[in-house]
Amino acid sequence: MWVESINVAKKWMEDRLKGDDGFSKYMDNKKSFIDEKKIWKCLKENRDPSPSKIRSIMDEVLQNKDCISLEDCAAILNVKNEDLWKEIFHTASIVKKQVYDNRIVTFAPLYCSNYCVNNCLYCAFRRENSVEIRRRLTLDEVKKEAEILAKMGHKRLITSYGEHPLSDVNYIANTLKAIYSVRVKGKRGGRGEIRRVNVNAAPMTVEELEILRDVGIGTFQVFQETYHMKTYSEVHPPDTIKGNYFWRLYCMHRALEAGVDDVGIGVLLGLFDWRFEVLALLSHALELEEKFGIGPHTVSFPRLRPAANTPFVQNSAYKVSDEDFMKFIATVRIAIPYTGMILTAREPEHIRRRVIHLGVTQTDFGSKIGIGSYRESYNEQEAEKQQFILGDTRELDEGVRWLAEMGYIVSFCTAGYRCGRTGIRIMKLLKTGKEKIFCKLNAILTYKEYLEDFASDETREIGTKILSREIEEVKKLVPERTFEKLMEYLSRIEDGERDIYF
Amino acid sequence: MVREIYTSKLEELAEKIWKEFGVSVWFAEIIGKRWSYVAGSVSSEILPSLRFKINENLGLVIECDSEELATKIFNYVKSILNNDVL
Repeated sequence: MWVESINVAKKWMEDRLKGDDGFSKYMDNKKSFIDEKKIWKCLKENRDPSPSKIRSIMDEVLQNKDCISLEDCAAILNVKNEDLWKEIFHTASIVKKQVYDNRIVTFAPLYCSNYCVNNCLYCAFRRENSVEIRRRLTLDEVKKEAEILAKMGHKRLITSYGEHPLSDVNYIANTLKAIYSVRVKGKRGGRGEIRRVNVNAAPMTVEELEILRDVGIGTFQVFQETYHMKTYSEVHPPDTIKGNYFWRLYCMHRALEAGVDDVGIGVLLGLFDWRFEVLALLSHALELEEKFGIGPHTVSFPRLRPAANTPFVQNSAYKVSDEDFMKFIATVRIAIPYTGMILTAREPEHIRRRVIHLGVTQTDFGSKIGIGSYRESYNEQEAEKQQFILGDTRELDEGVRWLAEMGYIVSFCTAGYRCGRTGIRIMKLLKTGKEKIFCKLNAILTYKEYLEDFASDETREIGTKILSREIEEVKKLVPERTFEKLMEYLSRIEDGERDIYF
Repeated sequence: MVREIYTSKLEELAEKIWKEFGVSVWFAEIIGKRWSYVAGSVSSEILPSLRFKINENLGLVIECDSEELATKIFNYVKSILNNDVL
């Protein structure tokens, strides 16, 4: 039985790599947009930048909210003066506020299957990891997991799957349908439901992405892990699908061609030099903007974490220190001002507290990453069922309160992709600073829903103060009739109506 | 695809509505839950908006909180779009 399933998976893998390669047609003169020579040259030629040069780059970003050049980004990455880094951190926090205001979007991960045909050295899901307990959730189980998350108050999930015929695009599409069908009662009243499902999965063909588009995918998220080709081939064995660097590199081109216009890119920090990865991420953003007019909806930057039976993690020569992690986040924030930035519960509380101010826009709470863990083992982590070990397992309610204590409003907004704020329209609104006002309005409405339906008394108390402050602030930012509409919507939420948005 | 074939026509129509009614509108391709921007206004006065389905595939978003005016614009759009688009 086991041998048979391995053969099925092998045949599936071979079939996927046949035919159109899925990337050549997007290349310019058969060249990839990741130009390693240029990246190294930029880093070399922009050493020892003067403080005035760095300040002028930062001033320009604050004015334009456009991506900066590779050369300017390399100059920031080469700053050695720690006092100047403090200024860069400060600028990053202002950029975030200018583009997204003080809202933080929350979500939860939902791991559906850990079968995988790949064999990535750093990952506990790799096919040769014999200690990993393999499982694929049934659709009924997916629904039950989503019900638990909806009962916490989550509105947005990121689903995750290993690359395997058991979790092919049809299975993924069915899990999305199962999640969207969930309706639960709130703890205090109202209702809970998942309104946006983002997908973290293997690269797909245009046709497969159209299937996900049709069932209502939010963001399609694929991380390159490392953009450095030699390192990529070392950690992703060549006899696997993931060993195909370009198939993965161009998956967002295919997604945008398929009409999935929210795409999320990222790197796994700890595989290679983080400065190189920043410039590569920026190259990716510039390429997508140039070819499609749409940059990445989000950038993710997980750091390697311990994982079951995965010694590579401990031995990596490129581990990113906490200080460099801060520099990475601030630089990406400044380099790609419009993009969402996701900090996950991989990081422990004290790190999240330190870095969240540097430009983070999304984070998760109440997370469990074992297959079936929300229902079956909520209070503990089980290394053999997980891809890695989480650093922060606080509940959503505690997270909402923690952010409120730091002055942030949590947003459960999922409006953008349901009202045409996508594509070049969202890019324009982000760059002109107008999207942050929609963010604020919808944060207020969804926060109100959370406080009404799910919050503990303690969270409700501090949350109500945050809400009043936000309402006062937004009053100064919007036309009178928009403010009147906001107040009308809030009143309708108090009367039990849900999912109202601008 | 609506996106590829009709973009320029929808751009012109959005422009015409702005001139005639002083209201920003944009068109979106409806794909399941997703309303993907296709054409029309890319700026905003941060006003409430109303959404209308022109058909199963095409949506119209009107930045205006008056249902009466929005309905008037919606009917205007429907009358202008010929059978090719609808």
